[in-house]
Amino acid sequence: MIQARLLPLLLILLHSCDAPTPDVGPPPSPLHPMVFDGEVIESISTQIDSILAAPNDAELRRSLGLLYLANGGPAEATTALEQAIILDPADPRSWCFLGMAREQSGDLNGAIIAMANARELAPSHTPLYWRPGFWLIEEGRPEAAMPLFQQAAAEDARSIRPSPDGAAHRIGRARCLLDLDRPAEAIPILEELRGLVTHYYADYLLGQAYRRSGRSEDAAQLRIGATSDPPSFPDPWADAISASKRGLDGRLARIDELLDVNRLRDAANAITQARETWPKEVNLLHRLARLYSLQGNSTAWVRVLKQAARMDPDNAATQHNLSIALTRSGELNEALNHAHLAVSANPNMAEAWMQIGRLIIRLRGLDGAPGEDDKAAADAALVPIDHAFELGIQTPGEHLMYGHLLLRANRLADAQRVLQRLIERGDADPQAWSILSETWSASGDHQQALRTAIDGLNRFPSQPDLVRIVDRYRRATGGAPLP
Amino acid sequence: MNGTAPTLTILTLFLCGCGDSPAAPSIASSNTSVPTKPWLLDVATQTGVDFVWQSGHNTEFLMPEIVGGGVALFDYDADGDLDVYFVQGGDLATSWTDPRSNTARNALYRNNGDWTFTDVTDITQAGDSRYGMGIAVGDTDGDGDPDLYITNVGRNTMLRNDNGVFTDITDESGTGDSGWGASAAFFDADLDGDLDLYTTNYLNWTPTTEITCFSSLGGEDYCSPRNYLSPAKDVFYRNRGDGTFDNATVDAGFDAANGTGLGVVVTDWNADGHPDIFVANDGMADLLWMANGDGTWTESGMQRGCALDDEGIAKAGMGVDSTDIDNDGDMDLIVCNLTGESDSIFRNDGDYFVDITGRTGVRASTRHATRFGIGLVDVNNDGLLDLYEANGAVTRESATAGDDPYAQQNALLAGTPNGRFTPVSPRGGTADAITLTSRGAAFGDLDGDGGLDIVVINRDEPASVYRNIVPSRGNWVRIEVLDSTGRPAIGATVHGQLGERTIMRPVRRAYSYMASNEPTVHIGLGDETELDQFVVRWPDGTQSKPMKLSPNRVWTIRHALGNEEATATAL
Repeated sequence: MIQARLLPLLLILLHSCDAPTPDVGPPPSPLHPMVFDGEVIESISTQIDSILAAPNDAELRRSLGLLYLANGGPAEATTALEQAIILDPADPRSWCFLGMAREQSGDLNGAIIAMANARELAPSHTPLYWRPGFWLIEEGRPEAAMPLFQQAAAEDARSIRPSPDGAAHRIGRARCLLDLDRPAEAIPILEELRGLVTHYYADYLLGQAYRRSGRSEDAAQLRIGATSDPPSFPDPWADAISASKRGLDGRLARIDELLDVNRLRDAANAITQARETWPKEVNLLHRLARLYSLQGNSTAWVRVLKQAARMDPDNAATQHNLSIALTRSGELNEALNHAHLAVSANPNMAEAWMQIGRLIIRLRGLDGAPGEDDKAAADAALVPIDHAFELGIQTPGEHLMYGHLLLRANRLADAQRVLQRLIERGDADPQAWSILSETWSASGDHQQALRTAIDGLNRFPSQPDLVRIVDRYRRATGGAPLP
Repeated sequence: MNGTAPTLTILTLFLCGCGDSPAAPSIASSNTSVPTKPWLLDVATQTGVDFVWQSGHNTEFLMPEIVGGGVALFDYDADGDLDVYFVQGGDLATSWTDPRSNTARNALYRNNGDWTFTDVTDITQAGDSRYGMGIAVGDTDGDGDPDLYITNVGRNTMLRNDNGVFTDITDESGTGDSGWGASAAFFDADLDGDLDLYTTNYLNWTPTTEITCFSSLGGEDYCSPRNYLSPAKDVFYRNRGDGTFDNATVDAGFDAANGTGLGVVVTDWNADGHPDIFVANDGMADLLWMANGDGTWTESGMQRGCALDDEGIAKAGMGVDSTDIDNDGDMDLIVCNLTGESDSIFRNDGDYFVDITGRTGVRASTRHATRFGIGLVDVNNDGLLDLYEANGAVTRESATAGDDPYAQQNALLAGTPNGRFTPVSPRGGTADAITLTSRGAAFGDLDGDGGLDIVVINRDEPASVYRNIVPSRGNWVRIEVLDSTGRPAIGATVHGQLGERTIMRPVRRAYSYMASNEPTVHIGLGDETELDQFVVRWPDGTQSKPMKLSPNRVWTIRHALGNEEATATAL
């Protein structure tokens, strides 16, 4: 490794001698051209042509490497980046990208060496520590990964602009400790991180650490929800990879990434650029609509989605998104119309059925104070919502709402079944106990109602609805001790 | 190659570069592995197995075309050897509107016992012509012969086996769920002595809800399941005791969550005597249904730490298997996933799972392909579980080769004494690189020679029949574990002492991907000459008395409330 760490310096020194520029060979063509298509292959071909015209231009080679790396060609990216480094070994980014390309190609040793070389050239860039740290964790080498995360933390502390939460090195250290079967030591790191940032992954790891340390009750309190979003840690250099994505799918992914990190101006530019190639692409209009939504421009949000709906009226996602946008704008009747159009386009879209139900709840006033025609309104809302649940609904919050609505519709057995299942989950909302208690009360089983409320209070001691229910029973019994 | 070698290479070349004009230097770093003799030989052509899973792909990219299909190994005619059943795809549009007009159909091949097979689909009436996905095998009516449950895009099919002839009893049995079924599992959910049925559903999908998606490499391609916004609910059927079923999905609590279910495995992870269910979802959090012991189940994958991997990612779960990977006496779990996502191996620590994928060494070995069929089985009989995976992409990938842009090599990883898995060389275990779009894989000993063979279904290419040709395989025992009626005692576990190791193996049929496997428990002994302290723990909580099994025999043990005797079948 000492040799690896000296390598960039040696290369720079050697490069500066009066030797002829080495012939690094032709730029790599796609190994399997048939799998690349459209704008991706066009961009690669154009880049290769540019390199052939200027074969000693390291920047052109690096750009080709990024094109491959961003569009699923790590083997070709590795070759191109190695060529770029031979031409310009002093560029830490090329070493970094080479590390990433090698890692994607399955060459972890080569990737680690490349990253070490990059660190020699840019020792304060913390992703050069935590990125290979995570690779080492993946390979089951937490003891080798730990020093990298510690170095990342030290560099971060030295930086004039430290990462606001240090999530990467904190999560990295915690994962090392978990992998080393030292969960108790991971807990303070994750608790500290939780104080700095809200992310389900930190909760997820903390829940695991609690559970593995014998603190199941603490784990249950976290009420970790399921999501498919992977954690991402900021690395400004990696933006060059994202910007090299080509093809409609790649462009959409790039736009999504920009929207996710709230780089709205860059996202707007990327959308405009992509629409020059795909002017009639509804998915681009969806991104444009999301951009307006993030900017708080409801009028433009609705307008763009209406434009998308005109272009492709049978697109269920468009109609559903338009329904949501109109709901936010308070145009509930029109929103309901588009929710119906969504289920017409895709009758299997449970979310769209739920949207119809939610809109009926609002239009019939079920979200306000209790009224005389509550049962009729609840019955009407339950028609689409029952259908959505027949198709399958995942979110616990939706199950809670369903249970509540079933209570309002006086379908007590169904409500009890839904809510009972909900409270058996580790991540149930405390309101599930209060609504279930009210359901038992409505069915005349006050013993069970009280028992449910007390059970909920044991878990959530200050939950106001549960306190109110128990107080009600206490008053009803004249202050006598409750079971 | 160690980590410093590439550095030395480039350094030497550049020192030369100051004086001469060197050839283009290479700083490539590569891993090498020591080649061994092949473990597997594809003998499909010689055996007469000529089945091709037909995706029906034409110009449109219809999602089911890239997902199926499944394969089963079972003895349909009670002649003592494993026959092969393939689930067929075909023309999706035709099948959707009129399944009878779909010319493609499922196929049953009878094992002739001499490494030849005969297509007996017609005489057994086993050929269903719906657009098929997966299969589960089990004796649902207690008549002693295995029945078939086939999952389809659209109505599933139940085929009752009466002395080797099949009858479609879907309607009578009440099991014709009309969703897009994937993997299914028969198991005794309520411990009442009959087989209940859990079937995963992938998406709420119809041809009219198909959408257009594009590849990251450019051009049209298959979509991600997330694009459809239509995850589906799985279905649970409770056996009435006579081979007819009630849809008990809601009563049992399985309506509390939905997903994009592709793989399923059933076992008792918390050893409370009640079977639990793990469902591998594609791009959504996986589901772990823990039995409450009262006929209901509660989903607790997130709480128990097996819904996501240790990076917090809901991976694209496909195939799944569960056995005791670390020999600590409980059942662990493995899920295989999409390219870029490694397998996930979860160690069972009682109340929760710990993701130990990294320390088993499978991350780098598995994430470069999309894996479907999977089995943790001892292929070389060295007493250590190996890992076989049937691979094939679902979208075009630059790493693929040949005419089929989805084709990938299968993977075979050998178990090692330190708990890690290392790739077998030649890759995939075959002398010649076989690169296909593989899906379901079923595991069983087709020729009764004590070596596990593997049958793999391939998209638009002939199925592979991999004969086990591991040179100098170790000793072995194979154990038919039967319940009191003589059926495979699904859910029982086999325990024994193998040298200094205590091992535990489940009696299972439903694992891998859309597949049903041989239920006989196969245990490699390596150089050991007996399996000592052999006991069976039956699903009712009782246990057989300890016995010693001599090697290289097929043993049969039948549940008799503690009075079991294991009998050996002469070779």
